[in-house]
Amino acid sequence: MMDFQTLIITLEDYWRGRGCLLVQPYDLEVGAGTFAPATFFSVLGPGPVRTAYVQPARRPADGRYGENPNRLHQHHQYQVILKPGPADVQDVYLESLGALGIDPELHDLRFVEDDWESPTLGASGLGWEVWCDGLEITQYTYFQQMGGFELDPVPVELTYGLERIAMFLQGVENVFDLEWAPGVSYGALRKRPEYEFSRYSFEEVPAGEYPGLFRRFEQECLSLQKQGLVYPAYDFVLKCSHIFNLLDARGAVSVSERAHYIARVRKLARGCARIYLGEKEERGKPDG
Amino acid sequence: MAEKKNFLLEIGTEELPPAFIRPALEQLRGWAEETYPGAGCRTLSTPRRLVLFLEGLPVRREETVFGPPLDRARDKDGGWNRQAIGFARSRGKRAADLEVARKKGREYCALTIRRETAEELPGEVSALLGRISFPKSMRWLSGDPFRFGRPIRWLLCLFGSEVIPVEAAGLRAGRETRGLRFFAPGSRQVRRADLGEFKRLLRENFVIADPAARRKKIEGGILRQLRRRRPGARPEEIDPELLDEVTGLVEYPRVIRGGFDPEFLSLPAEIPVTVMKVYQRYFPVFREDGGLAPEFLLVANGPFRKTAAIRKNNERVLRARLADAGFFWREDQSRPLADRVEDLEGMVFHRGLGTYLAKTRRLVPLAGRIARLLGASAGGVKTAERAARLSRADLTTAMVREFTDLQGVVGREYARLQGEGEGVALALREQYLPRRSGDGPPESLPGVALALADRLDTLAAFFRAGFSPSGSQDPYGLRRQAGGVVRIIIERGLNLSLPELVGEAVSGLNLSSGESGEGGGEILDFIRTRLEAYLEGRGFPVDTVRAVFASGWDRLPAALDRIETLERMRGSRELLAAATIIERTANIVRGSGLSGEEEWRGDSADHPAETKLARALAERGEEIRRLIGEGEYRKATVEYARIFSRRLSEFFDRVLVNVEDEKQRKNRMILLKQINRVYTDSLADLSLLQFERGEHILE
Repeated sequence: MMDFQTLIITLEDYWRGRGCLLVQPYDLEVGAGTFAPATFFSVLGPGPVRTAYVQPARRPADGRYGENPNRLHQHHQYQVILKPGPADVQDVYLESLGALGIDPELHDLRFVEDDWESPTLGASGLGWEVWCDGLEITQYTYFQQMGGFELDPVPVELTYGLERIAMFLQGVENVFDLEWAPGVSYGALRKRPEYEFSRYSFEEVPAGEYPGLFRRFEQECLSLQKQGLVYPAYDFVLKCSHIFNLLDARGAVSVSERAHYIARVRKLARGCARIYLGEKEERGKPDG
Repeated sequence: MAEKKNFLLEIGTEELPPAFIRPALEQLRGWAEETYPGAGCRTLSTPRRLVLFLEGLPVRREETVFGPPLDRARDKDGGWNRQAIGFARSRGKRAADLEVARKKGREYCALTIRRETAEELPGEVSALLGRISFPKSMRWLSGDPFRFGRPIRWLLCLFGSEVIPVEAAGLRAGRETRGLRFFAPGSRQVRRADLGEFKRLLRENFVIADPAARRKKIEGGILRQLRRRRPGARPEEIDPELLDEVTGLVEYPRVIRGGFDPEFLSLPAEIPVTVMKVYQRYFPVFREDGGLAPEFLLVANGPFRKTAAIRKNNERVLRARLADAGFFWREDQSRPLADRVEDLEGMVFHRGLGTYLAKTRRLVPLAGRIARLLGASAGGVKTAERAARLSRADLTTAMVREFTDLQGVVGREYARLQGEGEGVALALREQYLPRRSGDGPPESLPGVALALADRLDTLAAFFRAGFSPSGSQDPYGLRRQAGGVVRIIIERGLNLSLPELVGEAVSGLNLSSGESGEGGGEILDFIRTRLEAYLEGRGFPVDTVRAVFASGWDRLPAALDRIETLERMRGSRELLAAATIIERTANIVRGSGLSGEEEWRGDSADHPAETKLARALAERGEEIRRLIGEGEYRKATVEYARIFSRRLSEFFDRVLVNVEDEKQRKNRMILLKQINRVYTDSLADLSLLQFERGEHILE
């Protein structure tokens, strides 16, 4: 039986063998692996990219105090970016499932249409959910846009849902029963943080103060953009996005405000993309 | 006989969405029929391939190309002059190839050009691939703007046994195809363009390429499973849309049975059914008594020898989904629908068209007025208004946020739980009917009122904002909205006036926005096009529909009645006679500017045939109008023909209408116009009917 950490190591090993640069998780709160700079910036511009990393992803609204067997405030994604997407990308991906011990002659593997869009990042793509016996285990997307810019070459993003895959491999029905390492359960590591973060996002987030925080981060982002400091500026895009997610989970955002917040974050993300691309044009640096 | 060969094209892709397949095949077929008329055309498809097969394509085609006329192509010695030789060169030929050909009685210098199909095909097919359009298309090639529904990964193109080296999408076509992933790895060589051979080769490699055969296999598999439990199960029980979708998701179907915990049967059946169908593409299983059984059928993709793991894993996925639904069900009860209405302030109905709360506020009075027009009691009106108030409240529930397809169902079920009346609950679900072609219209009166109010308001709002559909573009689905209005009114036989309804919706919008806007006419025209399409779909000839609509169509049941009557009378002597009357009276008055409202003056009439005709009109005209008013359309038609056919014939034989004397001419025209209007005012303008030539008669 494959424990959680072996699952990660197996994917790392597999994608290293396929020429991927293995980078480390980003150290700020992100809602998905796509938000990490290793994806956001690397898909922009002309240079080739092969990179892979684990990314803890936080979705405050999905927290369930550690009581729901399938929902988490924070889960883990394994993110692979291949730019340009190679012609045999499906086969290479499916082989990675083989490496995890999923025998395609015993399991029903399917690519089911699921186009993807992130209004906060100004990003969109066409692609599929990959189903294994009816369970969505990966998002497989050809990005078309990021930060509002058309992408050429077109990158492929593979996002593995690690908890789901682990539950599938281990045959458990409750995420907290997963074995993280021999003798250590997922619950032992994650149950208390899940509970506490659920309390925080649903009950303790200071709904009156965080909008001000959002504005300050927004200002910071804009002024860093003016100085051309695009990576620090992008950190503040992520902070704004996270503050918004917290307010949303807290129920402090009406739906019309919601659209407004999203548009503000998108504007910041577009600014970062624009500066990043512009800077590269000036210096003629190779991408990477 | 010209030499012929078969043609086979396979476009191998990453998995195409099921809805993309049929339109793409139609475009392939359209291209084939236009480019190679006369060649037999077949298409095949799976999620990973679009296949076009053409039988009996000519290997070459000869064509005569005309140059200058002969008298300008000869030099004085009778040889070809410079102009003629230039013409030959421009076509890559020499003077010796020039010949003489006749066209329209004149002689020309000409060339016979042979076109080799094999040489034309690469360019043709490559252009074709670039032209196929999809509901949504994508780029995947670097530095190449080529778009397709999903990435193309291989191309097979054969003409006879020869490869046509089409270049497109960064690929060069060959003779390799692929079987089912995993079960038939690698590629397979295709010897020649032979449909039977190709299908057999794919079949051996676990691909059923013919979607009809695949659908049949799935249907058979499901039926076998259903009959194990219930021998009386019938094919009609299987949802055809889901069957189509699943057919588009697999290359080699295998039906597998699974089950779920009966505790989830405590949820209203539509919730697990929707979760199974829409979110997992499972077929639900029903018991003898129509109740939901705790089972499902899934269609896996492959010739699996062992299915236990697939079944167990799918069961686990469904259990998690149903557990979510159960959780939302309980959690949503913390706030009743009535309290959620104000939350709609934050939900935008459409950009620039305000929020759902604003829409709700317009719907309440509109649904109430429509209920009143439908003859509802005070209680019925109240029910419709209450349902309108709650109509979109379920959009704010966790259940609908997670399972959007349950909109309406959730509204109904929560309304029941929260003690809203059953009438309100039903209307909350029925407002979305008919959703697809197989659905009926709403049953209950408040449901009808709300369904109509919602659609009319949507049309009014979109047209007001200038989002009216044009050509084939209808991004907001307004055709479906208008089509819904049409279906509800006709299929429920509602005697409502469409102009009045549209007027109510437009003025409701004016009232709420404080603006005044028209636009009702445009909406009516739009509804009319949907109405014509709907009636055509039901098999009524366009000319009958147009003839009837020319005499008014605002009350649809009556219009439909008139259409049906005329259709039943097709080919009858009476209808022919009536049509002849209408046509001849219309023809002669056309362009005169007369309306028939003018007075016919007996003292100007000096011919007995004219006086006789006028007397018949005076004595019987009202009677015919009365028959029409009472819906006695057949009787009215028969009577109209009986009264006027012979008299009119006599009149035309003996009286000249177009006489010099203007007063007399006009007077006669007025009479004819009045006769015409007796019928065309409110039954049909029969001059728009298409008859076989020579059918017209006047007795």
